Amino acid sequence: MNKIKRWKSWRAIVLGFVAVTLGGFRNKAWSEDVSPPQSLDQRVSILERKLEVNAEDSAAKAKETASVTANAKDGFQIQSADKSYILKLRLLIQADSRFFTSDPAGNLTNAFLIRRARPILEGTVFGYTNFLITPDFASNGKTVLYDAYFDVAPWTFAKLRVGKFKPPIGLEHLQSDPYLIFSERGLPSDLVPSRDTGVQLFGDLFNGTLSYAAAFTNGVGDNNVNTTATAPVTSDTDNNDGKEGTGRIVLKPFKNTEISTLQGLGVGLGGSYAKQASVTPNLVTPGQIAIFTAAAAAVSDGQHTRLAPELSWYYHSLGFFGEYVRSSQVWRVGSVRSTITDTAGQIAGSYVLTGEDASYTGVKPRQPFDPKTGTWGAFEITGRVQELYLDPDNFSKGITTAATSIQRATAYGVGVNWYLNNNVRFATNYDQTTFDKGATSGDRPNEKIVISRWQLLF
Amino acid sequence: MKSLSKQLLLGLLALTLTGVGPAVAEAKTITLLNVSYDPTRELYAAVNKAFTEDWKKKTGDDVVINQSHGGSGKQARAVIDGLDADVVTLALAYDIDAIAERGNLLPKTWQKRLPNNSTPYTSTIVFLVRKGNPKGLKVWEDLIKPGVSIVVPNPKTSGGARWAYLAAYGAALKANNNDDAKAREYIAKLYKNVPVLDSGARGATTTFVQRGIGDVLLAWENEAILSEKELGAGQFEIVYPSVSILAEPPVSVVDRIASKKGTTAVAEAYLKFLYTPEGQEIEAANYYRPRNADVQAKYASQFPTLKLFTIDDTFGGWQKAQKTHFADGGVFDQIYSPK
Repeated sequence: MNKIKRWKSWRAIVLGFVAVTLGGFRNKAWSEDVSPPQSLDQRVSILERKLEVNAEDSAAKAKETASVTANAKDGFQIQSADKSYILKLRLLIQADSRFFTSDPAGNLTNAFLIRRARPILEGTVFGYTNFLITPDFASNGKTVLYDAYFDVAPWTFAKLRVGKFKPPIGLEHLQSDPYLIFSERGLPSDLVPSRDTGVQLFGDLFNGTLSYAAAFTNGVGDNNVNTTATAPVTSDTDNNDGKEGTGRIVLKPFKNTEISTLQGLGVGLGGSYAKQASVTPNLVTPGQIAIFTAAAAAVSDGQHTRLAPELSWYYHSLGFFGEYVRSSQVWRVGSVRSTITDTAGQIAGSYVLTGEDASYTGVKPRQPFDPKTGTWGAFEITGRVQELYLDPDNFSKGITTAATSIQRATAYGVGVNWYLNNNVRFATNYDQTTFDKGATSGDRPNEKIVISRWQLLF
Repeated sequence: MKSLSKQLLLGLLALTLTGVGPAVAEAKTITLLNVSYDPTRELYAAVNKAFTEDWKKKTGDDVVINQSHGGSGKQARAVIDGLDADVVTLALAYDIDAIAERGNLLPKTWQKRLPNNSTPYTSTIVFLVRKGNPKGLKVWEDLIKPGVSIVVPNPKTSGGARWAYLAAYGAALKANNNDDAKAREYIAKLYKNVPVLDSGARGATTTFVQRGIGDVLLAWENEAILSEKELGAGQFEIVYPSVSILAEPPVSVVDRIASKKGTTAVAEAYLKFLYTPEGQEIEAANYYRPRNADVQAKYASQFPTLKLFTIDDTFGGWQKAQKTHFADGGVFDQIYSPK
């Protein structure tokens, strides 16, 4: 028995020894399969260096690579790395309803309509040449080229614009369509040119406290987009040798001062001079109904001057502007020439109830409309009073008749704007306009209209 | 009697106002831009200092020389795309040819305007290895052994890398009786041993010297000597293979830009300065092989004699070499794929 026990003990010892030895060999073989530490260091260093080189290459490529972006402010944009070449595609759609609350003659139509449908293609080439093209697909079923110009702008104080653009006169007229506080511009815009073709020198001086613009263009009738007709328009060339010079100066004397209440104050004066023939004004009510028709024998033929002082003031949520336009045009009936002077003026104001800043370039809601988070965008209330007065000589000299044209239009308006976000806005406003003349007998009936608009801009 | 001194004073005043008196010309300040390849920073810092002093002594005018450095190919493209270089000092003639042909900024005969085909200095490609040469790398064939890790920049972007590629390829041709298939097989194996491709020569030096990656750096001789002596003193050795390529980095005035800027005379003088004894001395001191025989003799111990082949003899010139090896779809694209 003792011999068996001793044999078992020796067997256990030998087996244990063999096990330990074999285990040691396995461990040695395992460690031989692993790369030595220096090789691991090399691999890590190589990986790190590859990342560095890739980062350097990416940074170098980024300097040459164009970027494509899409956002609320710029729409869809392609931009070169150095920003010398930019192409932006934006869009303005305005879908309106016009409902007349009073129609005693039964000749007014309540309607839904597309007021503007404008793709806006703009961009930059060579760093300081900017261009813009805006056709409109909603002009009485026709496509109209509203803007097509480019600016050579090497300096902020002197830029050259060439093409078709808004001549520099008329404060509300020069405001961009999507940023108007009322759906339709006021009566003073009836007496300034809508668009014209030519050249313009413009710029900002003294840190933006003085802006100027001087344009030389074909010359169009009041509130027209070209020389040949009111609507639909047919061409953008001229029908006579007479040309128009237009200029405007705007001063914002407190813009760069510490007087915060006056930083948003601007005063300006615009004017134009032309010798024109066969240009026709396009005078319309807030409801966009024509209120002037020239007699068949009457032709504009001669000097046309405009003078347009303006004032604007913006302070936090409060906005205010006023303007006056005086348009004097020589008309000819047969061989008799008469200088006809029409005038218009308005005072308008707005207040942003939700605290955002009122602005000539639109209200930017701090928090966009999102019922899930309980945010509602921005709300603004607006009001205006305005008047258009046609020269009595219009009627006494046979330029027009009391049956086809008003002599005076006086309008009061109130409105509400809801800015859901930077791109979408809903506006509704009510304008009531009273008239002198403009009817076969007595005065044209009052126009009472509610215009509502859904607007998409990006 | 009227005061004579008053008369003299009035007379002197009159002379001065009419400009008859001694004229004191105002010193001008002329600015040049030298667009160069990657590793020449130290060289042109020294050259510019010496030239500006020399020009000031000769003409009284101040010259400010701004430098731009990068991979030779990228630098050439930058000049074509509008970088206003008064002079270019690039790694290879092909890159300056591109500026002449595509940028139309200098005549196609530019290389004939200065001595030695407009190459005031030369260099070659050598092996920079770790101290003690642990992998025993002595000849080109050693580089393709398994386990050897080679650092060399990307020949698509770096002029030095194109010289290195052609040095290796040419050496393989010489060793295999000009058998192109064998040389191609060799170069494919060589680039399989390259873990990282930097965009320029200086980047490759950073990878090898500072990051400690690789067993050998295929480098410009000047870059290798700089690394051995200054960047990593005592850590590296230079191995001169038995055969390598004669690298001839050329220089040229960019005529249309210099003419537009009114700097032609200064730009020409600047490049001619590189051929003067003083310029040649600076180049040798910065580890570039000078052309001047006297300076060569003075620095003989720094530049061992070795068998060098030229790109014209072995590859038929840069145009052919570029088209065959480095153009899109060329031999390099066929044999190398990123890891």
